[in-house]
Amino acid sequence: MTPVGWVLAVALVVGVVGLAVVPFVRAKPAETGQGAPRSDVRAAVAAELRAKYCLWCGEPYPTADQTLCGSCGRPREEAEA
Amino acid sequence: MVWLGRLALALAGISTVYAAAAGLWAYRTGDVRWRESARGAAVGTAVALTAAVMALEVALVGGDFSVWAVYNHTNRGLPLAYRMTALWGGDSGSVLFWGWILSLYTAYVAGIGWRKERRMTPLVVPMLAGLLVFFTGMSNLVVDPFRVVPGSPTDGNGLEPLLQNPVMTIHPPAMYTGLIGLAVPFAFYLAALWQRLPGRVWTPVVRRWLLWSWMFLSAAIVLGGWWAYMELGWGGYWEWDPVENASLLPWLTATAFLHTLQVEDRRGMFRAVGAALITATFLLTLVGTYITRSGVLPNSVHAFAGTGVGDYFVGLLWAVLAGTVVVLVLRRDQLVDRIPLVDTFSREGVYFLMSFFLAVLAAVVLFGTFYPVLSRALTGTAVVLQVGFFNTLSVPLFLGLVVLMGAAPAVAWRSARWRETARRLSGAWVAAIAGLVLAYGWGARTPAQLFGDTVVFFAAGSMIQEFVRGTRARQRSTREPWPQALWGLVRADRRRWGGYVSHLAFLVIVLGVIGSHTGNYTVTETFRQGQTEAVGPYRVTFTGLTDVPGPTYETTQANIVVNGPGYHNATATPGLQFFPGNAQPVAHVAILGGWWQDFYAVLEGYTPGGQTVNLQFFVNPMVSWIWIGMYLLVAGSLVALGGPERPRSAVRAGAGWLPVPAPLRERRDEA
Repeated sequence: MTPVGWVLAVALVVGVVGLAVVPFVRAKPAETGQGAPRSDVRAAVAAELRAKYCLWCGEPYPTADQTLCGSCGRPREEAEA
Repeated sequence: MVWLGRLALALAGISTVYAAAAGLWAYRTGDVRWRESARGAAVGTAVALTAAVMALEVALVGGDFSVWAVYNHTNRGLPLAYRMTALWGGDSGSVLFWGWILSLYTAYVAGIGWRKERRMTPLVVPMLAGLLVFFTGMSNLVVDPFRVVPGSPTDGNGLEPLLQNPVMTIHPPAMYTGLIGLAVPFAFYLAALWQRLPGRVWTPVVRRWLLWSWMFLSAAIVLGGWWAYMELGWGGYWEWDPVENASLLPWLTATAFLHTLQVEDRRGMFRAVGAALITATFLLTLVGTYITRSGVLPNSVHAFAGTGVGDYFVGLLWAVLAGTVVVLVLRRDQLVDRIPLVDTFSREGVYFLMSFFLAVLAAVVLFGTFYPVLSRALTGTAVVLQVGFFNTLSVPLFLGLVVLMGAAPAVAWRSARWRETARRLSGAWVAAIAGLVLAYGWGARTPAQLFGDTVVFFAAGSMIQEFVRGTRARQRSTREPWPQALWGLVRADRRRWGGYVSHLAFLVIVLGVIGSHTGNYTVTETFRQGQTEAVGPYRVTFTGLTDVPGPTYETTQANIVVNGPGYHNATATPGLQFFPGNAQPVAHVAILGGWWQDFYAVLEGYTPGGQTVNLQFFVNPMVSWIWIGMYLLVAGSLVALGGPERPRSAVRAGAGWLPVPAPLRERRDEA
């Protein structure tokens, strides 16, 4: 193994391990709490989707006050229920 | 380099196992640190595998014959380009190359893709990393690309002669990029299904990745045909070889899924069909690798590649199938269509029929490909189905697809009317009649040729009519000159118009295929030196035999002069290439190509002293259209990929979109 080979090998190990480890080193205590519990994340995503898309056909509601889906014609309340 | 390569491989293996585990843990707990760590590990895996590939390339280029992959697939005289591409010449390099491309995809999704899409990606990264565990495991434990050869060899065995062709420097990477890329939309689909995301969220992402892979796969299939045409010396480009079929199978199901995606996107329909198609697509990529790498089908031109890694791919196939079935069963509620099929004569009905035809085609090709295995298991004798089996069943299905392709743009969503549809296809009918007349004038006489040309012109007429109609409508509203209006039209909805360009490209390919079987002929002649013979309308003179030394082989070539339509004293040099260690010479065909026909010459043999040669000539009409179609198809796919995920017009229209009551008929169905 040549000196260049050793340098490359060490750089490779440090680089690959570093990429996985750095997020733990850089995270401050306050940031570690960012990961909300999975159920909360899911609920937030579901609420966002309900607000934006028809749950029957997946088409978007163009406006917040629209009562019927523009694609399948089903009432919004029914989908939300 | 061996040491560094092995270190990189080991690092890649550990890193990808960690990325998969940390990614799943992050998804479960929602912990940002683990999520970021998994992303970093995915990128780290790509870095490590890149280092491993570079280490092997350095060994290949530098001629380090102590490495088995270098010793077995290169030698001193091999040109630099083939030394570099010898990476995928054998099993160990191929598995490493496969894993490397997958790691690049994974790193892109984890690094850049994450910023664009954050709902599915947290699950996609561990899924792709899990798949990478298989490939890094194979490279580390089963097919070590850095295996050392005992002793100190000073030269290698050389690259398989059939692979020493310029097309072989592009075809395999294109094939790998396409096939491996199909893992990405599959992972996104499963992630969306698992999280019960609506189609509106996942279809744009899945479509983009699918279209990207489909583009490479399509180009690779045509390039494979180009290689066969130039290298194998039988005058054709497609022979339903098992390995050709292996690449066609996922293409067929991916094409079907690409179309059902549109129905999912717009109507939330055909969900179970879509799930089956995307699953089949990914599994068929593994089946294809098994066919190529197992040697289970000895009737293949790629039989040289088979060594025994195929069995591991069977294991992976079963594992992926089992995992997918579990997800599909647990999320079966998501596979129920939100809207029933209102009318079979509708755009969605046409798409369903297209998908059905493509799925049947895939089933036919799969059955025909594995028939030798089935027949050996049942009767003890391997029976290979001939080209006739595939042609008889596939030609009607392909032509049916062309008809549907032409009709689809004119068929309305939800419920179409026959009269209105026929009226919208007025240009297509005229084109169909013109096609029939032209085909007859060109010399087509069989029903398949006449019908084939008619439906191709019908479909092309339909596509062109769409362009004309759209351009005129834009001209009316913007008062632009037509080139500007056409440009603006395409820019406004690249997905749609890029798709139409791809359809036109496919039609050009089909026209080339039909044309190459219309009026083609072959002549075999024995020539003495100086003799002139007529080959159809051509006059061919054999002027002598020459030995030409090559980098790793010697070519004995016949010098012929061709005069006839399109050629005046054109020289062609068909030959036989003799590689050291190979008992059989490899044909070096001479092709005088043209727009309308190729003059294709093969040296079959010669007497000692070279006074007499046996030459075979093929006159193949319109083969070049197939290659041109490939370029057009890539261009169309790039146009479709280059635009936003949603057409601008739809985004604009959406801002002021008023609620539209659903058709009465549909409401009645709901009730």
